Amino acid sequence: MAAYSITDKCIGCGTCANSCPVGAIRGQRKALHSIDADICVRCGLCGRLCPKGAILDELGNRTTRIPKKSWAHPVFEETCAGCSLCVVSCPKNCIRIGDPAYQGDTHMRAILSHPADCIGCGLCVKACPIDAVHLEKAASEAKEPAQT
Amino acid sequence: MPTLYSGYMGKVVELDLSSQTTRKYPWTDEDRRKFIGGKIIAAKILSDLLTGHEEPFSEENPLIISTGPLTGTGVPCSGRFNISALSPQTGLVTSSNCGGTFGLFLKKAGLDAIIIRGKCAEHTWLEIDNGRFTFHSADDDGLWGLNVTPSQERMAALLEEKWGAKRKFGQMVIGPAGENLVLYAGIASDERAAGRTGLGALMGWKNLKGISVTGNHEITVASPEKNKAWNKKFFNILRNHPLTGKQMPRMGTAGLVSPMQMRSMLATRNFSAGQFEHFDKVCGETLAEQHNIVNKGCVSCPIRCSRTVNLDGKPVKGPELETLGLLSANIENDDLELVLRLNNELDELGMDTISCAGTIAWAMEANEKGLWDNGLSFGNAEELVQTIRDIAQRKGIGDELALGSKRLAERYGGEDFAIQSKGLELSAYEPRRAVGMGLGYAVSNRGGCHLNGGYLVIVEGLGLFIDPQTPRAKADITMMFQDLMEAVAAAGQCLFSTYVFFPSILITRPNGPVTTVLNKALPHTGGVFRAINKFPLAIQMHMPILPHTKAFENATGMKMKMGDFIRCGERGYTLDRQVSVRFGVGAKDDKLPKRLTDTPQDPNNPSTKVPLDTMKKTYYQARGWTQEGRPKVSTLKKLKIV
Amino acid sequence: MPQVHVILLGLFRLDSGLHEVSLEADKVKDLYPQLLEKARERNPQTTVTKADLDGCVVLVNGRKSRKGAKLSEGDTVHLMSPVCGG
Repeated sequence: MAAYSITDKCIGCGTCANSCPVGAIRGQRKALHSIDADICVRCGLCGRLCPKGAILDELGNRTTRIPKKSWAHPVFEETCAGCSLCVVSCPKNCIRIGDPAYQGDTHMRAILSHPADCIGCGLCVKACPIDAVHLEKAASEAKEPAQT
Repeated sequence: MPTLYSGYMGKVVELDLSSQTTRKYPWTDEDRRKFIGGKIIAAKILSDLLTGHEEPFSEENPLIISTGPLTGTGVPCSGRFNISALSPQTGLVTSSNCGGTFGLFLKKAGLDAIIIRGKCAEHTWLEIDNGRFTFHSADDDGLWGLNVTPSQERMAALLEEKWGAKRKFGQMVIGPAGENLVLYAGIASDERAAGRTGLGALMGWKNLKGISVTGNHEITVASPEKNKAWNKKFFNILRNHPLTGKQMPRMGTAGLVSPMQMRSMLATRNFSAGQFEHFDKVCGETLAEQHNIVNKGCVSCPIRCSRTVNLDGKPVKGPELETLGLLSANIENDDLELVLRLNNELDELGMDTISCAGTIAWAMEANEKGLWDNGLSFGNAEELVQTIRDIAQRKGIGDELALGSKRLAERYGGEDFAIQSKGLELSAYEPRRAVGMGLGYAVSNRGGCHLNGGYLVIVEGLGLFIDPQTPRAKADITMMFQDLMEAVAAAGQCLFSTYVFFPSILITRPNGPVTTVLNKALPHTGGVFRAINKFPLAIQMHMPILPHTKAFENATGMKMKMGDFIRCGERGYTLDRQVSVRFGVGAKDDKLPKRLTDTPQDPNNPSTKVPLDTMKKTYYQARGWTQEGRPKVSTLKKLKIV
Repeated sequence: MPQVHVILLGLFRLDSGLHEVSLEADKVKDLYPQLLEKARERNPQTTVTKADLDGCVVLVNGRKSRKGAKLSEGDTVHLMSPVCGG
């Protein structure tokens, strides 16, 4: 399967291996690391963390480091039908189907239950069959002009 | 073999447990066009592998786990997978359909289907990772003997430890019932189950406790943009329909108890009556009011018909209608909490709630009639928790109850009230007040199954209200419903998505002129259904009542108009039958117990019994089968089966 | 006017909270405004509407009937919202 990979720019700091949500990255400290293409779910977390830009995405493009505070998080829309494909696809288990708003409520939507764990990978967006979720940067971090 | 079509992973693998080897099973695009996926590809494989001389408990009997092309594509209600084999319970070809996430992950592992042959030398569980198969000891890992939930939890913990990470995966397991070869043991996957026809016993016989599956393959669709656009429409259709958008999410199948009671079709006292005096204590409304229900669904499904109920302060899976009816009215138990407890226990032990409850009802009557002294009696359900544990462990009378009502009736007598067909116990719908359902139960490939039987009750007094006693048109409608459901299931979608087949107005205006006219007219339209059944390929378009075909085309890139779809379903249904014919099945087996065909439910109304012979004759004609119930050569040729 | 016994089933029962009521009416449909009134009395925020009642299957003394059906003293009327299968 197409997967992320690591170039020889790798300094073996272990940041990627320690955070890979599916345990796909192996390597000795201070030595070149590698990604198991059979396990990688293409979340891109390694690329966003690597201090050396040593990670290539599944298409072979170099990735760049992005500070955590700039990561975007999923926002679920009213049209979400609670089908839970995003829940199953989330590598960090930070999405669940929300609780009913009242007794007998059946229109539960997906919610980001563990925002602190979210890595902004967008696999939920990819999994959604009806475009009911998109990624947004947290309001305080967005560089948009302040609303009046 | 790689495929030109999207949705498929292009790989079917044959795994031999005895030698622990795998090989690719040949599977071409022509096969995909003819047999779609799911239960129909399984039927084709069984047709290739079975000669008619195999025993259910034998290394030659393959357990086939298959997905549909839509499984995991995001098309609504496409979280299903199928398990097929020669059934230990009926001795015939069977299939059992299950929700949950296993199907999705099987495809992520790059597989459309796996064919499991042979037998493990020791208790084993199987790990599938991107098409790599690893065998683990179920004894060393402490899995053998565990109930369904602890088994799945233990398997998850073992995998997490091995991987050093929480990867997502799907799993299926058997409980003690399957290990001990209870003939109606099921297979559980998450909270869902492939419950019917004893496939858990086959897994147990193969010494296979469970399977986990994961992978990182992408499931692609032919036209992503079109697919998404149609998904949006399809989701909306389901969410705005009164049945799939309101009734099913709110009450699930449990909502059927009351209407069945009103229509005298709630099986009561081992199918000797159609109404239960205390139905109000066990109906779906009471369940919702007293047990604080939250609805829950399979992956990719907006209907979310499953319910979590409160039992002893803990959330557990709620009972479906079949279980609710058969564990209450049919054994004269009015204690709803006990029903929840029994349902939970049966799920945990891993056995089919329908067959177990049906067997117990038969045993109660056999005891009261003095045929078999077993201590069970109607209205006394308190001890049943222990009884079903004994069934799973094959202890005391449990050892015999594990055989099912057909075999017990052969041993003790009482065939006339053994409520089963081909060895499979009937669901909770009393067919004497829905005779088309009676036909379905009798002719169904699986045996006494309401879904494989065509589910005619939906038009005989639940959704629509055509005359439930007339045999008119019932055979032709049964055939069409069977074929449609066969195709929907093979595509990987849930049968409940077919409720949109009934335009909303018929449901929201049950007393309106359109509905009234249709109810009156349907029994006179057998000819129309017959013509469509005969020449489905004439319908070369998509129909608004069946959004499934367009979803299928968008996802796979294969031409699939409504007529093609029905024809594929017919092919699958006939193929199942044809393989069972090799095992000797025929008209003689398409039967119901005498209670349902000879004794009117209402002594004052002679029409309240199932006129099976009349309907069977028409059914065989409609299907192009001989009056002995075997597909004619011309029919097999027409369907390109031979 | 004949007094009849009305039993509610299905979603209407869950949404209105009404199980069984005794009412007076000549025809089945004359029960509807009274039932909505009762539902509102029970819960002023109730979401049930006449459309919900129009969507109910009508049974009088256990037999399928219609909205326009005439009622007699002592009849039992079941109103049941539509269901599908399992």
